[in-house]
Amino acid sequence: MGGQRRTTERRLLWEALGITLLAFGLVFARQVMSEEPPQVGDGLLYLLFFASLYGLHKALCLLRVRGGEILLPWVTFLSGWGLVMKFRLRFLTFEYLGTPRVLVYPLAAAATVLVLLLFRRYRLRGLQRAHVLWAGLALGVMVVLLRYGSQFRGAYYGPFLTTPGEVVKVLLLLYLVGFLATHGEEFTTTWLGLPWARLRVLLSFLILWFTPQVLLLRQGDFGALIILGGLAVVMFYVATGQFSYLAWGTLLTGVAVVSICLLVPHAQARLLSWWDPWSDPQGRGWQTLQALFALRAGALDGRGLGAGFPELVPIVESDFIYAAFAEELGLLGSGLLVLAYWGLFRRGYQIATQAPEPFPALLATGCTSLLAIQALLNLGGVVKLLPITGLTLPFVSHGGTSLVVCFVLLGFLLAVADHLSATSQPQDAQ
Amino acid sequence: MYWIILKALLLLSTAWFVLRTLRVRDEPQGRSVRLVVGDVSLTVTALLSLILAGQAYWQLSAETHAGFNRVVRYDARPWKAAMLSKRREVEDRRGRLLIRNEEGPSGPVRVYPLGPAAAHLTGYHHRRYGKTGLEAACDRRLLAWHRNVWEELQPYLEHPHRPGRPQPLALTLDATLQRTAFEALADRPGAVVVLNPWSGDVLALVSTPSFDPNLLNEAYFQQLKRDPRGPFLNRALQGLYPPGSVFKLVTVVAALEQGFDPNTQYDCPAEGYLPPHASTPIRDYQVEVWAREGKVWPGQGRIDLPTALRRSANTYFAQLGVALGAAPILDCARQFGFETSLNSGLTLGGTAAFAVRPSRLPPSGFGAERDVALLAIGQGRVLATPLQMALVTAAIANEGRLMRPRLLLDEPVAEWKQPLSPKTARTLAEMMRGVVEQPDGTGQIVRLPDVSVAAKTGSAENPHGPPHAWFVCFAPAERPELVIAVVVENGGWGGPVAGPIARRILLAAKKAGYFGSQAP
Repeated sequence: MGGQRRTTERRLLWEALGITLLAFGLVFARQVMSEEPPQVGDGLLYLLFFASLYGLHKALCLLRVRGGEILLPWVTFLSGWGLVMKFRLRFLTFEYLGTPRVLVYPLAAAATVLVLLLFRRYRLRGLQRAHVLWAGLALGVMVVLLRYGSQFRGAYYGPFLTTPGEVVKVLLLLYLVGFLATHGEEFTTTWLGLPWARLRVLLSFLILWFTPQVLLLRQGDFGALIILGGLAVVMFYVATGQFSYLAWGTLLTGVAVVSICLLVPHAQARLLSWWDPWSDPQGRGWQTLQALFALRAGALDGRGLGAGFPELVPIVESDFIYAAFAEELGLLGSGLLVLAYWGLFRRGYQIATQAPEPFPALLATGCTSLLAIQALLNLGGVVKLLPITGLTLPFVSHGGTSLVVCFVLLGFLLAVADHLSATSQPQDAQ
Repeated sequence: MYWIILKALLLLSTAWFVLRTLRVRDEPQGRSVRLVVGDVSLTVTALLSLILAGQAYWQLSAETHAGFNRVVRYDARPWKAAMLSKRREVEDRRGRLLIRNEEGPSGPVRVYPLGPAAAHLTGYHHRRYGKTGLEAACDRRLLAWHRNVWEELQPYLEHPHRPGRPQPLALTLDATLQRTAFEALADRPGAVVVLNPWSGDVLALVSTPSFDPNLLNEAYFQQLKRDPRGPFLNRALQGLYPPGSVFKLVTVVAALEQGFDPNTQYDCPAEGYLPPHASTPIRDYQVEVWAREGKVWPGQGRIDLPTALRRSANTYFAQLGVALGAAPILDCARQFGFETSLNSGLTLGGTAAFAVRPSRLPPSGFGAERDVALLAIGQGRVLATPLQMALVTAAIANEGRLMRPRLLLDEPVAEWKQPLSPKTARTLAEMMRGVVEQPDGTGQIVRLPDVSVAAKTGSAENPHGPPHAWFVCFAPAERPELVIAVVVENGGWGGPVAGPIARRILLAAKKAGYFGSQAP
């Protein structure tokens, strides 16, 4: 078989798969001993996951993607633990085999491959040139969603309960990166810390960046707004090196958060439930407190996989899945999970610093930052450092669209890494 | 066992993977663009550390947070764990189970083999009706769920032949004596306390009327709650009764400690003793007994202290009390533990589940001679729990040293206080033997072949009906192994009503080998 060998990736992938298989087996064994034994078909869940991730590795080899070999093992490790925990919480079971829910991993792997096929190497520049298109697409998705989407738990969903808001995040990220790679130079000149760019450029950015967000606000997706705000701050800072963007961005985000809280009672309640869950433990403080109880029960070494009661935490399978890890694996185990995130992010930023051109560098920074901001907001919410934002934990949480989108970001990171290797060692191609 | 190994394996392999993968470098260290990505990366690192620190605060030290402690009761985990998983079993001093786990249709069920005989002691553990008795008092020790790896390993190391099961919690209780006492009380309201005087071991703690903790359901629970006799009340620890003549033991101790000569004689005529400034005389109980038989009580004549104790002569003790004054008697009673919370004595975590009500004394300022006379015979405003009177008897039996009562076998044996001198204790014990062995003693019912018993009866007048029947005793008199306190609410005369109950317990104890060379 031809193609790139990617031996580091293969070795580490096997290890990540082995560990998660051991964990999956433990959960399975524990469920066999319980009153509600699992069905044999539940084992297929892991098989499907295994095939998807290993298949993704094989596809990367066949596509001769080079570099970024640490990314896939990290992602496999994280999403493998996500699978284990979702299975343990009985959120992924045999019953769902016929539904799209279990097809999430094959779909995610396919999405990564698709991104690489579409945007590898020289085509990466096309991604930059088309940046206005991405913003338009984001706008279109939002309009269609608000017009035709179905409402559930106060938010809008597409067909199969997909959440197109997640897609909008990526499209806006691509737009932002493309825009900054094209017009970033203009923004390095500042006056009183404000950009001294051409009015046309500034206006086009403001319109294209904020219109989809207003629509996001209309459907109540505050989490996405906060992520995008943070992303804009980080990206402007990285693209221009001007500290003033950090200051202004932080100020603007703060103003936005405060005004949203003043205007929307729902957001205000969330903020209150974060700041003082103690006064209303059975009402608004319930979720925050249940997560803290889970943390407390976990202590240092955890209750043991399958031996805790994480199901007491509301929506533990998505927003609060980290509480389940903290309870069952303890500070040590869940700390390793955080360490894995750190490894992934560090690698993402490393790829960015090594990229020779602004666009790939900004793209890698953007993808990594998107994942990092989302992870930080989610984890911060669980450990009560931040208010609950309703964001999922990347790669781990339950949520089909969110997982696929994370794998798309992985695809972009791999594309940048590949681009980097191709430009640094052009003669290496066979 | 294998579970722990797998858990450790999982943790180690995960740690190994994460730490090693962090060290792998695959990207060539190439040219770096003029970008400030490094700052962002560093910020992300710092924020992730901050999250871990925040997490560590809640995971390792949430109890230090006042707000958290206030709401921690909304955590359903202890309940879930208690309902779903192993709650420890409880056994008596000889390894017979008092609380057993059984598999029910919806998870493990707590079964109480002694049923109503030990209901107040074991209590119950019910999803709906909560926890009482031992289930509540020792809740933490009975919960096996909050254990660390070492505690989980320990039972395997200590008892490899008993795998997968945490060791039952061992009590000092003796199931045989407990059952015997309960059966002896039959359906009369009352209480029995059996102690070991030199170790403080609680051998039986019975309260009637009782209930069956195995049968709890809504209808039964409501019926019990409405029952005017109060079946949920633990009379052994919380029932306050006038002690009547058994309180004379305290009076005797007070007198002897004051240097009173036991050979001192008082005149005890048939018409009773009229304390100074009093309008009604204090008379002997024999007046009534003789009258019922159609005879006229001729009076005790001039008698000394041992005789008075044997016959439980109110007239003698009233005069003795007036001669002594209130203060020595009250002080002596306090030495025995009256008016102090006995929770510190029953070291069970001081929880309300096993709260012992302090026994009461009249306020120390009172002075009328009639009140002192009544105090000396255990009437008037003195109230005692059955446990308190058992402790008084235990101190006398153990040569003046009162041991801390203990219910858990792994608690240390400890002396609690010394309310009387060994000499007084020996003298009084000899007098109490007379109560059983002399032909004019009130406690002859517990006279046993080849076991000497020392006892004191009591019939406590009360406004609710017939007198409460009291009986306290210890045996063998020379080397006491057992102290028994019995009270039957409104039962009648102490000797004939409460005495037979003590006798049955003594016989059961003898059969169980308590009076042999090796006590169990």
